[in-house]
Amino acid sequence: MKKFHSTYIIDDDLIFVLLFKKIIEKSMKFDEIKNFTDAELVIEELNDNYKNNKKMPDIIFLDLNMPNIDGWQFLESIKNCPFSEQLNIYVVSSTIDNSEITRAKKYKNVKKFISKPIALDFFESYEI
Amino acid sequence: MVIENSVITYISSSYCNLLGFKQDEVYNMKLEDIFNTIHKDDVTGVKKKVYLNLEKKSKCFLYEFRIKSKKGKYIWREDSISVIYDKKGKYIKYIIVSRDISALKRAEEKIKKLYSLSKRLNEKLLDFTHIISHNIRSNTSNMSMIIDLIEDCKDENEKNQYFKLLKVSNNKLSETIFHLNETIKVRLENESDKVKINVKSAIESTLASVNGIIKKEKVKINLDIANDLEINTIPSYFDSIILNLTTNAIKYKSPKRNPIININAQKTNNKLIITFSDNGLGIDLVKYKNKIFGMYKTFHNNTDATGLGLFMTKNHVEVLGGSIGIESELGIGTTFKIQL
Repeated sequence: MKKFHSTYIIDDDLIFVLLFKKIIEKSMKFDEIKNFTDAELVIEELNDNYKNNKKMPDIIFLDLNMPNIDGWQFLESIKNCPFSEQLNIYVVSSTIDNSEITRAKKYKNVKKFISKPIALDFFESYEI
Repeated sequence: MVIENSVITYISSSYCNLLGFKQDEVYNMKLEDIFNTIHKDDVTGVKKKVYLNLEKKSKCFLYEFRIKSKKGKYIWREDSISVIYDKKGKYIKYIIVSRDISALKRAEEKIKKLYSLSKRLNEKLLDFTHIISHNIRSNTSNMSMIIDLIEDCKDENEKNQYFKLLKVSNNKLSETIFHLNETIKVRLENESDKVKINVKSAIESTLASVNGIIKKEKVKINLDIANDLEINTIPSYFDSIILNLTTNAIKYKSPKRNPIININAQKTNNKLIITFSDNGLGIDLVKYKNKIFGMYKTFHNNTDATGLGLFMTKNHVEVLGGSIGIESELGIGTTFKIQL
Protein backbone atom coordinates (compact mmCIF):
# COMPACT_ATOMS: atom_id res chain seq x y z
CA MET A 1 0.00 0.00 0.00
CA LYS A 2 1.34 3.37 -1.01
CA LYS A 3 1.62 5.88 1.84
CA PHE A 4 1.57 9.65 1.82
CA HIS A 5 3.67 11.39 4.40
CA SER A 6 2.59 14.92 3.78
CA THR A 7 -0.87 15.87 2.55
CA TYR A 8 -2.32 19.35 1.92
CA ILE A 9 -6.05 20.04 1.77
CA ILE A 10 -7.00 23.42 0.26
CA ASP A 11 -10.67 24.17 0.86
CA ASP A 12 -12.50 27.05 2.55
CA ASP A 13 -15.44 24.84 3.56
CA LEU A 14 -14.39 23.74 7.05
CA ILE A 15 -17.19 21.23 7.42
CA PHE A 16 -16.05 19.47 4.29
CA VAL A 17 -12.44 19.53 5.47
CA LEU A 18 -13.45 17.87 8.74
CA LEU A 19 -15.42 15.16 6.94
CA PHE A 20 -12.74 14.68 4.33
CA LYS A 21 -10.10 14.22 7.02
CA LYS A 22 -12.24 11.54 8.65
CA ILE A 23 -12.49 9.74 5.34
CA ILE A 24 -8.82 9.85 4.46
CA GLU A 25 -7.83 8.90 8.00
CA LYS A 26 -9.97 5.78 7.69
CA SER A 27 -7.90 4.61 4.75
CA MET A 28 -4.70 4.83 6.83
CA LYS A 29 -2.74 5.94 3.79
CA PHE A 30 -2.03 9.48 4.96
CA ASP A 31 0.25 10.54 7.77
CA GLU A 32 0.57 14.26 8.23
CA ILE A 33 -2.41 16.29 7.00
CA LYS A 34 -2.38 20.07 6.77
CA ASN A 35 -5.38 22.10 5.72
CA PHE A 36 -5.57 25.62 4.28
CA THR A 37 -8.57 27.84 3.64
CA ASP A 38 -6.56 30.34 1.59
CA ALA A 39 -4.78 29.04 -1.52
CA GLU A 40 -2.52 32.07 -1.59
CA LEU A 41 -0.86 30.93 1.62
CA VAL A 42 -0.17 27.57 0.00
CA ILE A 43 1.62 29.23 -2.89
CA GLU A 44 3.78 31.10 -0.39
CA GLU A 45 4.51 27.94 1.55
CA LEU A 46 5.37 25.93 -1.57
CA ASN A 47 7.76 28.63 -2.75
CA ASP A 48 9.28 28.75 0.69
CA ASN A 49 9.68 24.96 0.81
CA TYR A 50 11.33 24.96 -2.57
CA LYS A 51 13.77 27.75 -1.72
CA ASN A 52 14.78 26.19 1.59
CA ASN A 53 14.95 22.69 0.21
CA LYS A 54 12.18 21.55 2.50
CA LYS A 55 9.93 18.65 1.67
CA MET A 56 7.11 19.20 -0.78
CA PRO A 57 3.67 17.71 -0.03
CA ASP A 58 3.17 14.26 -1.55
CA ILE A 59 -0.38 15.07 -2.48
CA ILE A 60 -2.60 18.18 -2.64
CA PHE A 61 -6.40 18.07 -2.54
CA LEU A 62 -7.66 21.29 -4.12
CA ASP A 63 -11.15 22.81 -4.09
CA LEU A 64 -12.14 25.08 -6.99
CA ASN A 65 -14.59 27.57 -5.56
CA MET A 66 -12.89 29.68 -2.89
CA PRO A 67 -12.78 33.33 -1.87
CA ASN A 68 -9.54 35.28 -2.27
CA ILE A 69 -7.85 33.22 -4.98
CA ASP A 70 -9.81 30.24 -6.28
CA GLY A 71 -8.62 26.83 -7.45
CA TRP A 72 -8.11 28.03 -11.02
CA GLN A 73 -5.92 30.91 -9.96
CA PHE A 74 -3.93 28.52 -7.79
CA LEU A 75 -3.35 26.15 -10.73
CA GLU A 76 -2.41 29.06 -12.99
CA SER A 77 0.07 30.59 -10.55
CA ILE A 78 1.96 27.37 -9.87
CA LYS A 79 1.90 26.20 -13.49
CA ASN A 80 5.24 27.77 -14.31
CA CYS A 81 6.94 27.34 -10.94
CA PRO A 82 10.11 25.22 -10.97
CA PHE A 83 8.51 22.73 -8.57
CA SER A 84 5.32 22.42 -10.59
CA GLU A 85 6.21 18.98 -11.96
CA GLN A 86 6.74 17.54 -8.49
CA LEU A 87 3.20 18.34 -7.41
CA ASN A 88 0.53 15.75 -7.29
CA ILE A 89 -2.80 17.57 -7.35
CA TYR A 90 -6.27 16.10 -6.95
CA VAL A 91 -9.05 18.54 -7.70
CA VAL A 92 -11.99 17.94 -5.36
CA SER A 93 -15.16 19.79 -6.31
CA SER A 94 -18.93 19.65 -6.24
CA THR A 95 -19.26 21.01 -9.76
CA ILE A 96 -21.71 19.47 -12.20
CA ASP A 97 -20.31 21.51 -15.04
CA ASN A 98 -18.44 19.17 -17.38
CA SER A 99 -16.43 22.02 -18.87
CA GLU A 100 -14.86 22.60 -15.45
CA ILE A 101 -13.83 18.95 -15.24
CA THR A 102 -12.27 19.03 -18.71
CA ARG A 103 -10.55 22.31 -17.89
CA ALA A 104 -9.05 20.93 -14.68
CA LYS A 105 -7.68 17.86 -16.44
CA LYS A 106 -5.74 20.07 -18.86
CA TYR A 107 -3.25 20.94 -16.13
CA LYS A 108 -0.29 18.57 -16.17
CA ASN A 109 -0.02 18.29 -12.41
CA VAL A 110 -3.73 17.58 -11.92
CA LYS A 111 -3.79 13.81 -11.58
CA LYS A 112 -7.49 13.30 -11.07
CA PHE A 113 -10.80 15.03 -10.62
CA ILE A 114 -12.74 13.82 -7.60
CA SER A 115 -16.43 14.74 -7.34
CA LYS A 116 -18.00 15.65 -4.03
CA PRO A 117 -19.61 13.94 -2.15
CA ILE A 118 -16.93 11.36 -1.47
CA ALA A 119 -17.83 7.82 -0.36
CA LEU A 120 -16.45 6.70 3.00
CA ASP A 121 -14.46 3.88 1.42
CA PHE A 122 -13.20 5.93 -1.53
CA PHE A 123 -9.54 5.80 -0.57
CA GLU A 124 -9.72 2.22 0.60
CA SER A 125 -10.82 1.00 -2.79
CA TYR A 126 -9.03 3.58 -4.89
CA GLU A 127 -5.33 3.13 -5.48
CA ILE A 128 -3.84 6.60 -5.81
CA MET B 1 -41.59 56.20 -59.83
CA VAL B 2 -39.38 57.60 -62.55
CA ILE B 3 -37.13 60.63 -62.18
CA GLU B 4 -35.62 62.39 -65.19
CA ASN B 5 -33.34 65.37 -64.82
CA SER B 6 -34.36 65.81 -61.15
CA VAL B 7 -38.04 65.95 -62.05
CA ILE B 8 -40.61 63.26 -61.30
CA THR B 9 -41.96 62.13 -64.67
CA TYR B 10 -43.91 59.05 -63.76
CA ILE B 11 -45.66 57.95 -60.62
CA SER B 12 -47.62 54.73 -60.18
CA SER B 13 -50.87 54.60 -58.27
CA SER B 14 -49.50 51.97 -55.90
CA TYR B 15 -46.66 54.33 -54.94
CA CYS B 16 -49.27 56.99 -54.09
CA ASN B 17 -51.29 54.47 -52.08
CA LEU B 18 -48.22 53.50 -50.13
CA LEU B 19 -47.74 57.03 -48.81
CA GLY B 20 -51.33 58.20 -48.99
CA PHE B 21 -50.73 61.03 -51.50
CA LYS B 22 -52.76 61.90 -54.58
CA GLN B 23 -50.90 61.56 -57.90
CA ASP B 24 -50.72 65.28 -58.67
CA GLU B 25 -49.47 65.98 -55.16
CA VAL B 26 -46.47 63.76 -55.88
CA TYR B 27 -45.92 65.23 -59.36
CA ASN B 28 -45.62 68.65 -57.76
CA MET B 29 -42.92 67.49 -55.34
CA LYS B 30 -39.31 68.52 -55.74
CA LEU B 31 -36.60 65.96 -54.94
CA GLU B 32 -35.76 68.00 -51.84
CA ASP B 33 -39.38 67.61 -50.66
CA ILE B 34 -39.01 63.85 -50.84
CA PHE B 35 -35.68 63.90 -49.02
CA ASN B 36 -37.32 66.06 -46.35
CA THR B 37 -39.89 63.37 -45.56
CA ILE B 38 -37.22 60.72 -44.97
CA HIS B 39 -36.53 59.98 -41.30
CA LYS B 40 -33.71 62.17 -39.99
CA ASP B 41 -31.66 59.15 -38.93
CA ASP B 42 -31.84 57.64 -42.42
CA VAL B 43 -31.64 60.62 -44.78
CA THR B 44 -27.85 61.07 -44.86
CA GLY B 45 -27.36 57.36 -45.45
CA VAL B 46 -29.83 57.37 -48.35
CA LYS B 47 -28.29 60.48 -49.95
CA LYS B 48 -24.81 59.01 -49.64
CA LYS B 49 -25.91 55.75 -51.24
CA VAL B 50 -27.69 57.53 -54.13
CA TYR B 51 -24.81 59.86 -54.99
CA LEU B 52 -22.15 57.19 -54.57
CA ASN B 53 -23.97 54.80 -56.89
CA LEU B 54 -24.64 57.49 -59.50
CA GLU B 55 -20.96 58.39 -59.41
CA LYS B 56 -20.01 54.74 -59.91
CA LYS B 57 -22.57 54.51 -62.73
CA SER B 58 -24.24 51.56 -61.04
CA LYS B 59 -27.18 50.26 -63.00
CA CYS B 60 -29.10 48.85 -60.10
CA PHE B 61 -28.89 49.08 -56.34
CA LEU B 62 -30.99 48.85 -53.21
CA TYR B 63 -31.54 50.83 -50.02
CA GLU B 64 -34.02 50.99 -47.19
CA PHE B 65 -35.24 53.86 -45.03
CA ARG B 66 -38.17 55.27 -43.10
CA ILE B 67 -40.36 57.83 -44.84
CA LYS B 68 -43.26 59.91 -43.56
CA SER B 69 -46.65 59.21 -45.11
CA LYS B 70 -49.21 61.97 -45.67
CA LYS B 71 -50.74 61.15 -42.30
CA GLY B 72 -47.36 61.76 -40.65
CA LYS B 73 -46.69 58.11 -39.83
CA TYR B 74 -43.29 56.66 -40.68
CA ILE B 75 -43.23 53.55 -42.82
CA TRP B 76 -40.22 51.38 -43.64
CA ARG B 77 -39.57 51.28 -47.34
CA GLU B 78 -37.17 49.36 -49.53
CA ASP B 79 -36.32 51.01 -52.85
CA SER B 80 -34.79 49.00 -55.61
CA ILE B 81 -33.31 51.30 -58.20
CA SER B 82 -32.54 50.94 -61.88
CA VAL B 83 -30.68 53.75 -63.64
CA ILE B 84 -30.21 54.38 -67.33
CA TYR B 85 -27.21 56.56 -68.29
CA ASP B 86 -26.40 58.37 -71.53
CA LYS B 87 -23.10 57.98 -73.40
CA LYS B 88 -21.45 60.69 -71.31
CA GLY B 89 -22.42 58.91 -68.16
CA LYS B 90 -25.16 61.28 -67.12
CA TYR B 91 -28.27 59.54 -65.84
CA ILE B 92 -31.35 59.76 -68.06
CA LYS B 93 -33.90 57.75 -66.13
CA TYR B 94 -33.87 56.97 -62.41
CA ILE B 95 -36.48 54.26 -61.85
CA ILE B 96 -37.61 53.45 -58.32
CA VAL B 97 -39.60 50.37 -57.38
CA SER B 98 -40.75 50.78 -53.79
CA ARG B 99 -41.85 48.13 -51.39
CA ASP B 100 -43.41 48.57 -47.94
CA ILE B 101 -41.21 46.57 -45.54
CA SER B 102 -42.70 47.87 -42.26
CA ALA B 103 -44.05 44.46 -41.28
CA LEU B 104 -40.67 42.88 -42.03
CA LYS B 105 -38.89 45.51 -39.95
CA ARG B 106 -41.27 45.06 -37.06
CA ALA B 107 -40.66 41.33 -37.14
CA GLU B 108 -36.91 41.97 -37.28
CA GLU B 109 -37.12 44.29 -34.25
CA LYS B 110 -39.04 41.62 -32.39
CA ILE B 111 -36.47 38.97 -33.22
CA LYS B 112 -33.64 41.26 -32.09
CA LYS B 113 -35.39 41.86 -28.78
CA LEU B 114 -36.07 38.17 -28.32
CA TYR B 115 -32.48 37.39 -29.15
CA SER B 116 -31.05 39.76 -26.57
CA LEU B 117 -33.58 38.52 -24.03
CA SER B 118 -32.66 34.89 -24.57
CA LYS B 119 -28.99 35.79 -24.50
CA ARG B 120 -29.46 37.36 -21.09
CA LEU B 121 -31.56 34.48 -19.86
CA ASN B 122 -28.85 32.11 -20.99
CA GLU B 123 -26.23 34.07 -19.06
CA LYS B 124 -28.44 33.81 -16.01
CA LEU B 125 -28.76 30.09 -16.55
CA LEU B 126 -24.96 29.78 -16.52
CA ASP B 127 -24.91 31.70 -13.24
CA PHE B 128 -27.41 29.25 -11.86
CA THR B 129 -25.39 26.23 -12.99
CA HIS B 130 -22.56 27.77 -11.02
CA ILE B 131 -24.68 28.30 -7.91
CA ILE B 132 -26.08 24.82 -8.08
CA SER B 133 -22.62 23.36 -8.65
CA HIS B 134 -20.84 25.15 -5.90
CA ASN B 135 -23.25 26.58 -3.39
CA ILE B 136 -26.10 24.12 -3.27
CA ARG B 137 -24.20 20.96 -4.08
CA SER B 138 -21.38 21.72 -1.67
CA ASN B 139 -23.95 21.69 1.13
CA THR B 140 -25.91 18.67 -0.03
CA SER B 141 -22.72 16.72 -0.61
CA ASN B 142 -21.54 17.57 2.91
CA MET B 143 -24.89 16.40 4.22
CA SER B 144 -24.74 13.10 2.43
CA MET B 145 -21.20 12.52 3.69
CA ILE B 146 -22.29 13.31 7.24
CA ILE B 147 -25.17 10.85 6.95
CA ASP B 148 -22.74 8.18 5.73
CA LEU B 149 -20.50 8.87 8.70
CA ILE B 150 -23.42 8.71 11.14
CA GLU B 151 -24.43 5.37 9.71
CA ASP B 152 -20.92 4.06 9.98
CA CYS B 153 -20.28 5.39 13.48
CA LYS B 154 -20.79 3.45 16.70
CA ASP B 155 -19.76 6.04 19.22
CA GLU B 156 -22.75 8.06 20.53
CA ASN B 157 -20.69 11.19 21.24
CA GLU B 158 -19.25 11.21 17.79
CA LYS B 159 -22.71 10.70 16.36
CA ASN B 160 -23.96 13.78 18.20
CA GLN B 161 -21.13 15.81 16.74
CA TYR B 162 -22.20 14.75 13.28
CA PHE B 163 -25.79 15.71 14.00
CA LYS B 164 -24.64 19.19 14.91
CA LEU B 165 -22.73 19.44 11.66
CA LEU B 166 -25.79 18.23 9.81
CA LYS B 167 -27.77 21.03 11.33
CA VAL B 168 -25.18 23.64 10.34
CA SER B 169 -25.08 22.33 6.77
CA ASN B 170 -28.82 22.34 6.56
CA ASN B 171 -28.97 25.97 7.71
CA LYS B 172 -26.36 26.95 5.17
CA LEU B 173 -28.35 25.25 2.46
CA SER B 174 -31.54 27.10 3.44
CA GLU B 175 -29.62 30.37 3.42
CA THR B 176 -28.27 29.71 -0.06
CA ILE B 177 -31.73 28.92 -1.36
CA PHE B 178 -33.05 32.14 0.19
CA HIS B 179 -30.36 34.16 -1.60
CA LEU B 180 -31.08 32.33 -4.81
CA ASN B 181 -34.66 33.50 -4.52
CA GLU B 182 -33.46 37.09 -4.18
CA THR B 183 -31.48 36.87 -7.40
CA ILE B 184 -34.36 35.35 -9.34
CA LYS B 185 -36.48 38.35 -8.34
CA VAL B 186 -34.56 40.51 -10.79
CA ARG B 187 -36.96 40.36 -13.70
CA LEU B 188 -36.19 41.47 -17.19
CA GLU B 189 -37.91 44.82 -17.17
CA ASN B 190 -39.62 46.84 -19.87
CA GLU B 191 -39.07 50.47 -20.74
CA SER B 192 -42.69 51.00 -19.72
CA ASP B 193 -41.86 50.25 -16.08
CA LYS B 194 -39.70 53.38 -15.96
CA VAL B 195 -40.94 56.58 -14.33
CA LYS B 196 -39.41 60.03 -13.95
CA ILE B 197 -37.90 60.66 -10.53
CA ASN B 198 -35.88 63.46 -8.96
CA VAL B 199 -32.36 62.11 -8.44
CA LYS B 200 -31.49 64.10 -5.34
CA SER B 201 -34.67 63.42 -3.40
CA ALA B 202 -34.62 59.74 -4.40
CA ILE B 203 -31.08 59.36 -3.06
CA GLU B 204 -31.95 61.32 0.09
CA SER B 205 -34.90 59.10 0.86
CA THR B 206 -32.81 55.95 0.30
CA LEU B 207 -30.16 57.29 2.68
CA ALA B 208 -32.87 58.13 5.23
CA SER B 209 -33.89 54.47 5.29
CA VAL B 210 -30.44 53.54 6.64
CA ASN B 211 -30.13 56.59 8.88
CA GLY B 212 -29.64 54.37 11.94
CA ILE B 213 -26.46 52.75 10.70
CA ILE B 214 -25.20 56.05 9.22
CA LYS B 215 -25.46 57.68 12.66
CA LYS B 216 -24.05 54.68 14.50
CA GLU B 217 -20.98 54.46 12.29
CA LYS B 218 -20.56 58.27 12.22
CA VAL B 219 -20.70 58.36 8.43
CA LYS B 220 -20.46 61.72 6.71
CA ILE B 221 -22.27 61.82 3.39
CA ASN B 222 -21.75 64.68 0.92
CA LEU B 223 -24.27 65.02 -1.89
CA ASP B 224 -23.32 67.04 -4.94
CA ILE B 225 -26.45 66.83 -7.07
CA ALA B 226 -28.46 69.61 -8.77
CA ASN B 227 -31.94 70.04 -7.29
CA ASP B 228 -33.70 69.72 -10.63
CA LEU B 229 -31.84 66.67 -11.94
CA GLU B 230 -34.28 64.00 -13.12
CA ILE B 231 -34.00 60.48 -14.51
CA ASN B 232 -36.29 57.97 -16.15
CA THR B 233 -35.81 54.80 -14.17
CA ILE B 234 -37.35 51.93 -12.24
CA PRO B 235 -37.45 53.40 -8.72
CA SER B 236 -37.03 50.15 -6.77
CA TYR B 237 -33.87 49.30 -8.73
CA PHE B 238 -32.45 52.78 -8.42
CA ASP B 239 -33.12 52.61 -4.70
CA SER B 240 -31.46 49.22 -4.37
CA ILE B 241 -28.34 50.36 -6.26
CA ILE B 242 -27.84 53.36 -3.97
CA LEU B 243 -28.64 51.31 -0.89
CA ASN B 244 -26.21 48.53 -1.79
CA LEU B 245 -23.35 50.91 -2.53
CA THR B 246 -23.99 52.82 0.70
CA THR B 247 -24.10 49.76 2.96
CA ASN B 248 -21.12 48.32 1.11
CA ALA B 249 -19.10 51.50 1.75
CA ILE B 250 -19.99 51.35 5.44
CA LYS B 251 -19.35 47.63 5.77
CA TYR B 252 -15.85 48.00 4.32
CA LYS B 253 -14.92 51.21 6.12
CA SER B 254 -11.39 51.76 7.27
CA PRO B 255 -10.90 51.16 10.99
CA LYS B 256 -8.54 54.14 11.01
CA ARG B 257 -11.05 56.88 10.17
CA ASN B 258 -14.73 57.82 10.16
CA PRO B 259 -16.37 56.93 6.87
CA ILE B 260 -16.96 59.68 4.32
CA ILE B 261 -19.11 59.01 1.25
CA ASN B 262 -19.26 61.48 -1.64
CA ILE B 263 -22.13 61.09 -4.08
CA ASN B 264 -22.04 63.20 -7.21
CA ALA B 265 -24.58 63.02 -10.02
CA GLN B 266 -24.83 64.89 -13.29
CA LYS B 267 -26.08 64.52 -16.82
CA THR B 268 -23.59 64.23 -19.69
CA ASN B 269 -24.77 63.48 -23.23
CA ASN B 270 -28.22 62.65 -21.92
CA LYS B 271 -26.75 59.98 -19.63
CA LEU B 272 -26.86 60.19 -15.86
CA ILE B 273 -23.41 59.70 -14.36
CA ILE B 274 -23.32 58.91 -10.65
CA THR B 275 -19.96 58.85 -8.92
CA PHE B 276 -19.97 57.18 -5.56
CA SER B 277 -16.74 57.31 -3.62
CA ASP B 278 -15.68 56.36 -0.09
CA ASN B 279 -12.56 56.51 2.08
CA GLY B 280 -12.79 52.87 3.14
CA LEU B 281 -10.50 49.86 2.98
CA GLY B 282 -10.25 49.82 -0.80
CA ILE B 283 -9.71 46.68 -2.77
CA ASP B 284 -6.83 45.21 -4.77
CA LEU B 285 -8.13 45.52 -8.32
CA VAL B 286 -5.12 43.92 -9.96
CA LYS B 287 -5.95 40.75 -8.10
CA TYR B 288 -9.72 40.90 -8.16
CA LYS B 289 -10.70 42.89 -11.24
CA ASN B 290 -12.56 40.02 -12.89
CA LYS B 291 -14.34 39.01 -9.75
CA ILE B 292 -15.56 42.26 -8.22
CA PHE B 293 -19.07 41.99 -9.59
CA GLY B 294 -19.16 38.20 -9.64
CA MET B 295 -21.62 36.06 -7.78
CA TYR B 296 -20.70 34.79 -4.32
CA LYS B 297 -17.37 36.58 -4.30
CA THR B 298 -16.19 37.99 -1.00
CA PHE B 299 -12.87 39.65 -0.42
CA HIS B 300 -12.43 40.86 3.12
CA ASN B 301 -13.00 37.76 5.27
CA ASN B 302 -16.11 39.50 6.53
CA THR B 303 -18.38 36.81 7.92
CA ASP B 304 -21.65 38.59 7.14
CA ALA B 305 -20.70 39.11 3.50
CA THR B 306 -22.94 37.10 1.18
CA GLY B 307 -21.04 37.88 -2.00
CA LEU B 308 -24.25 39.03 -3.62
CA GLY B 309 -24.29 42.80 -3.02
CA LEU B 310 -22.20 44.00 -5.94
CA PHE B 311 -23.45 41.18 -8.13
CA MET B 312 -27.01 42.39 -7.58
CA THR B 313 -25.99 46.03 -8.04
CA LYS B 314 -24.45 45.27 -11.42
CA ASN B 315 -27.51 43.22 -12.32
CA HIS B 316 -29.83 46.12 -11.48
CA VAL B 317 -27.70 48.66 -13.35
CA GLU B 318 -27.69 46.45 -16.44
CA VAL B 319 -31.41 45.80 -16.34
CA LEU B 320 -31.80 49.60 -16.39
CA GLY B 321 -29.64 49.65 -19.51
CA GLY B 322 -26.60 51.17 -17.79
CA SER B 323 -23.07 50.22 -16.85
CA ILE B 324 -20.95 50.28 -13.69
CA GLY B 325 -17.21 50.61 -13.21
CA ILE B 326 -14.86 50.65 -10.23
CA GLU B 327 -11.64 52.36 -9.25
CA SER B 328 -9.98 51.57 -5.98
CA GLU B 329 -6.79 51.89 -4.03
CA LEU B 330 -5.95 49.77 -1.00
CA GLY B 331 -6.08 51.82 2.19
CA ILE B 332 -7.40 54.92 0.40
CA GLY B 333 -10.90 54.10 -0.80
CA THR B 334 -13.15 53.02 -3.61
CA THR B 335 -15.04 54.88 -6.34
CA PHE B 336 -17.93 53.43 -8.28
CA LYS B 337 -18.99 55.14 -11.49
CA ILE B 338 -22.47 54.36 -12.75
CA GLN B 339 -23.87 55.39 -16.08
CA LEU B 340 -27.62 55.18 -16.44
